[in-house]
Amino acid sequence: MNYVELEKLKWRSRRSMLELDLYFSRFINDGYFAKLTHEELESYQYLLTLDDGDLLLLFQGKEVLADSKLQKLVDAIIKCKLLEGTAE
Amino acid sequence: MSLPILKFDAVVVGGGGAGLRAALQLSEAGVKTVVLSKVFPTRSHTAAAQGGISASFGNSEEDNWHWHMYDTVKGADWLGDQDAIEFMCKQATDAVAELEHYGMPFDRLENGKIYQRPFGGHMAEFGKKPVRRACAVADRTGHAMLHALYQRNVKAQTHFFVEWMALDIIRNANGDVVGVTALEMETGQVYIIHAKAVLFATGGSGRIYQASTNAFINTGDGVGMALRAGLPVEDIEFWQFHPTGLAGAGVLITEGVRGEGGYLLNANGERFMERYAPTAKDLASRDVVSRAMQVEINEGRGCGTNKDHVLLKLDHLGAEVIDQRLPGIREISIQFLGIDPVKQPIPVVPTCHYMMGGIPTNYKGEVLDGVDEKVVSGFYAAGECACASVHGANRLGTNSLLDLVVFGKSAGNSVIDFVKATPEHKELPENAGAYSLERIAKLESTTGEKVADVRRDMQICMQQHASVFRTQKALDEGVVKMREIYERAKNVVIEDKSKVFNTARVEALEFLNTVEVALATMIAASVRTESRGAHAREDYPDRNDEKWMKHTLYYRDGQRLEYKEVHTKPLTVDYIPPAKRVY
Repeated sequence: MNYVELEKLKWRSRRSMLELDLYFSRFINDGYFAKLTHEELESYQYLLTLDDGDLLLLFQGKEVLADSKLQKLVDAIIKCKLLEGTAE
Repeated sequence: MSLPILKFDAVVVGGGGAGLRAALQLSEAGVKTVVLSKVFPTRSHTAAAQGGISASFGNSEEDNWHWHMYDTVKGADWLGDQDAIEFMCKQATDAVAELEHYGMPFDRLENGKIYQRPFGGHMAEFGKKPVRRACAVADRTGHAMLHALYQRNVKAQTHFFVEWMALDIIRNANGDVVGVTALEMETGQVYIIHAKAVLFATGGSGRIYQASTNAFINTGDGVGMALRAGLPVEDIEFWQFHPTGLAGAGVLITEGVRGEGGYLLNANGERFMERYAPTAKDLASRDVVSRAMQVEINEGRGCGTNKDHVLLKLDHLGAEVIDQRLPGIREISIQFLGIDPVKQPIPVVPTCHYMMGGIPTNYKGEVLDGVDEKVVSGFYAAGECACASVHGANRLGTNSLLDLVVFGKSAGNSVIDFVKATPEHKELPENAGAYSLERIAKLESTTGEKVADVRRDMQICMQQHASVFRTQKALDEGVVKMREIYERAKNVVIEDKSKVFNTARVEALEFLNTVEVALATMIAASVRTESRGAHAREDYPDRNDEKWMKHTLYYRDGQRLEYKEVHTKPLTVDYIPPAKRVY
């Protein structure tokens, strides 16, 4: 993906709820996002098309995706431990 | 440089609950309407509203809109306009019934009627005992509302410009609003949206504080634009701190938890709200609960190693009630703090939640300028960005979703009338987009500060000088610091100068709105020498109706303040005179 497409993914990581902003921003700001492969970025792109309520269920571990590659990415975002504060 | 011009009857800025409700009204009436939204509409912050929407159906016990009105006036600490409050409370049942018809799957009682839960500050018999007034869709009420309204708008063929950011209001020589400039993020192109009417529904600005429950998109864009356009912002010193933000993360734990029977404990295991609000206890108004919590913390009865929070106990409700009625809460607590509320209480602190002030409007959604409340032709506002004023000095929980739909619709109706009476678009002024282009160009200067640095300093300053408890000393220092920060904000620059999907540019433009709100807040708060609702002064602990029962108007020009009267004439009922606000 080119620079613009990556920027678009970052923007679309802004969501309706602070919880989701915190998950995504930590993942992006701590450098995990930058290390994603092309295939993982496509998974990330797909995740962003999901409804915020569904995303929250995934991040809370209440739902699991059938696609193991997607679920692996969800797990990586969950694992990215939240630190104190709300980095923007 | 000439900018491309797009022409609509009406432009709605913001795709949350108020914007979508307004747009629906407009599109169904055949008004050619476009909604500009920074994010996909169903990702607007309305989706985060968990608790419910208030309406006095009386499905579980006796209730009526007069009691709801009384509670709202009292909750607002007599700073709300009683005509607007009557309008909202009276409309509430119809507004919720309308949402039900749009497909909102409200929780039900066994008899099929809408389930209603108690909520802080909502009482029966003019403040005597808590009443079940909040209608909810589990803990996803805002989410369900947004989806229902969005689908309905699609059906009504509303135009959506998604990932567009409005930049500035365009006013003609008479001061009439004739459009906005807007940035299409995808291309980086700035457009002029030429419209007969502009309706702002841009939401709140909770990101002015370091500890906030607000999503990152809540950057006060509408208020920033209005201030730059020479219009005032009303009662901006009043910010609601939600009592139960998750300690350390800011994530909101809904008041519905206390509605379902949860309560707060201090380090001694004492249910301390019994001392502060003997009747309503943990269901007292948000500012009352927030301050009580802060007093407990300040006086050394906070919990944890740093004694910096209190505990929200709900384990006695049992796993079944928690899972069924408050499912998200359990997961949030486990995920962010590793605490399962079925077994342990949740650490909570008061956290910035809601902007009571905003762009001054009447209950018709028409924007008003000045002490004499002159209607600004062509300009409307609704929702959190607006100040109708129904929330006054303090908003009651579940009145915000109600505000969105009641005033979204009302503003929409006003726009319909205006558009019908305005056959032709008023002419755009010359160089209509020049100011926005200059602002963008300034960001591309070679020298200046980073947005993130100045924003961080602003958030820290606001948190330290203008949060739950305020003093003259802290506020005066805050004004000096915020003015310095405001000057620094004029010189922020972005490294990335690219045009297409430049998120750094968007964030910088957002910040330039946020900092306007922050400075306005600090200045307005420093002058109001009383305690009223969410504006709690340690050095002026009492409400002073004689001197301060009036609305603040802050203007960017000269950073000046004016004051206007509170509306004391309801539409049909008797005035509710000021009384001591105890719960």
